[in-house]
Formats: sequence, C-alpha cells, structure tokens
Amino acid sequence: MESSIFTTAGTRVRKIFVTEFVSLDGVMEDPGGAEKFVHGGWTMPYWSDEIGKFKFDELLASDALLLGRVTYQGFAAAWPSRTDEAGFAQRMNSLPKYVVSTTLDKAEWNNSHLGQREHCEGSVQAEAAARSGHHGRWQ
Amino acid sequence: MHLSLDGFVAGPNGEIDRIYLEDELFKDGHALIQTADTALYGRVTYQLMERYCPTAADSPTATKHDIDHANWVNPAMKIVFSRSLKKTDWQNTRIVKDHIAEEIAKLKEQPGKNMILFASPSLASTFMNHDLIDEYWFNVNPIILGRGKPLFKDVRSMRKLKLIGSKTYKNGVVNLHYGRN
Repeated sequence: MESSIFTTAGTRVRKIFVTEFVSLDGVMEDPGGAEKFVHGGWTMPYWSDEIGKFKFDELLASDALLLGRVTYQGFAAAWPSRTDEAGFAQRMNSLPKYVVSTTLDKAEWNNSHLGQREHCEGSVQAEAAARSGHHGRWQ
Repeated sequence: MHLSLDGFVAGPNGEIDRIYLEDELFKDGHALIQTADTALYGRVTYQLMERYCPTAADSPTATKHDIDHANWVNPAMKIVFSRSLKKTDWQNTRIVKDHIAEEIAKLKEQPGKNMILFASPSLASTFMNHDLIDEYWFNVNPIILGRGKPLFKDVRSMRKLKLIGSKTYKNGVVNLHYGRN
C-alpha cells in the first residue's frame, strides 16, 4: 500500500480512527443531504478533489468500518447500487462492516456484522487484539 | 478566544486552567490586540478582568504577557454589556445595558482601531445572532472537556464563514481565523 498520512509505523494493535464531517459549532448531522435535516448537505459547497483524495486514502488505510445504526442504514441504502472507476464503492461494499444497534434485527449489506451495544466494547477489543497493522474506522 | 475541541470556552465553573499556552500564542495575541483600542466584555469576563488587570503589571510574579496585556487593556476603552452591573471603578469603562446591535453600529462608525470581544461566551452568542462579528480568532485546544461553558449553545442562525488563515502551534493548539463569507 502506498504511504499516506494514515500509515502508522510499528503498530502492534489495530487502531480505531474516528472520522467525521463537523461544523465549527459541532454539528455533524446530515452532511450529504439525504436525511431531510434543515441544513442537510452542508458539506457539499466545501467538497474538493483534495478532500476526495483524503477520503479515499482513509478508506484504503482501513479494513473495517464501525457504524452506528443510523449511519449504517444510510450507507446500506446507498452504497450497494454504486460503482465508480476508482473503486471507492467496491471497497465500501466489500469491507467488513460492524454495526452496533439494540433495535436492528438483521444487517443485509454485504459483509455486515450486527452487534449489541453491551457486547460492543469487548468485541472491538478482541478484534483489535486479534489482528495487527490495519485500522478500523469509526464513521 | 480559546475553545476546546467540543466547543467549550471554560469548565463548568468557569475554570480556564486547562487552556494550552505558549510564548508563540502570547506573541500572536499581543500582535492582535495592537490592532485594537477597545475591549468588549460580558459581565462575568469583565468582572474577572477588573479584579486582576488594574494591578497585574505591579505584581512581583507578573509575566511579560501579564504586563503587556495590562499595559494595553488598562488605558483601552472597555465596554461591558450587562443589565445588572450598576457601576465600576476600572478606568475607561462604559456599561451598555441594551440595544446591543445599535450600540455596536454606532461604535463602528466612530474613528479608531478595531474592537475585540474577549471570551464572554454569552455575549459572543448574542453578537453571532445579530451578525455583529467581522472576524473570529479561535484557538482550538487539543482537549475534549465534556462539560463546561459552551460557546455555540444559544446560536440560532446559520452563518457561512470564510477561512482567512490557520496556524498550528507546537503545543497542539490550532488557530482558526475566520471572516465573513
């Protein structure tokens, strides 16, 4: 893998990265505009090739996605039908997804793993300890 | 203005002991106040400053920053926005009780240097809601406080900003300088 700002040398346990779009006043709701929030899509005017590269590098440096139920359902509705030349969608669809929810019965998006909140901490620690050198990404 | 990553300007009881400081921050802060001749405060911040600034430069433990700031703020015009404050003994202070937007419009038309609002989170929210702020200087500290005095809690309107500049300090503080979009 090509070196990027996400590469960390000598990592023995997988790291958890949190990655968010956030406004100056700490709002992260509906950055893309699909959730009917009054300011939905607020990140769009600031999108650039540079941010696109950042998101792509970040995805390549991760080998698991950790998602809450709301974001998971949004992603699961959007990504399976998407394709792109660079392979961003293909990677989103193929990576293992870990979703934490007390209300979801099943998680049908390819390679999804559903966990209960009370089991989450132990599972994440076990995952982190079991494998090394790569990063989980909490989105 | 110093901010935690989660948008607090101080701890739950107004504590500011968690702020990350270093010489370079003081130097840039000092350069900024030299562009101004007027300080704007809410009552709480004003009363903190009033207790400390008039004699800060005389203390045997005063740092260069204490002396520089005291030398600027004591002769500067100070405007405190408060409905409850009746009188003050600190020189060159004016108390404004109401009609903040009109007062600021009048002040902007007077000749002089810039006006700086220091800390004062409630007043800053009011200024943001009235669109009175031309430039923001935030020092984002590398800390999540979890609880404290929030800066943005009462801000009610969306405002697009333009990033004028940013600077990363050695201690991890990032300065974000925004203007109107």
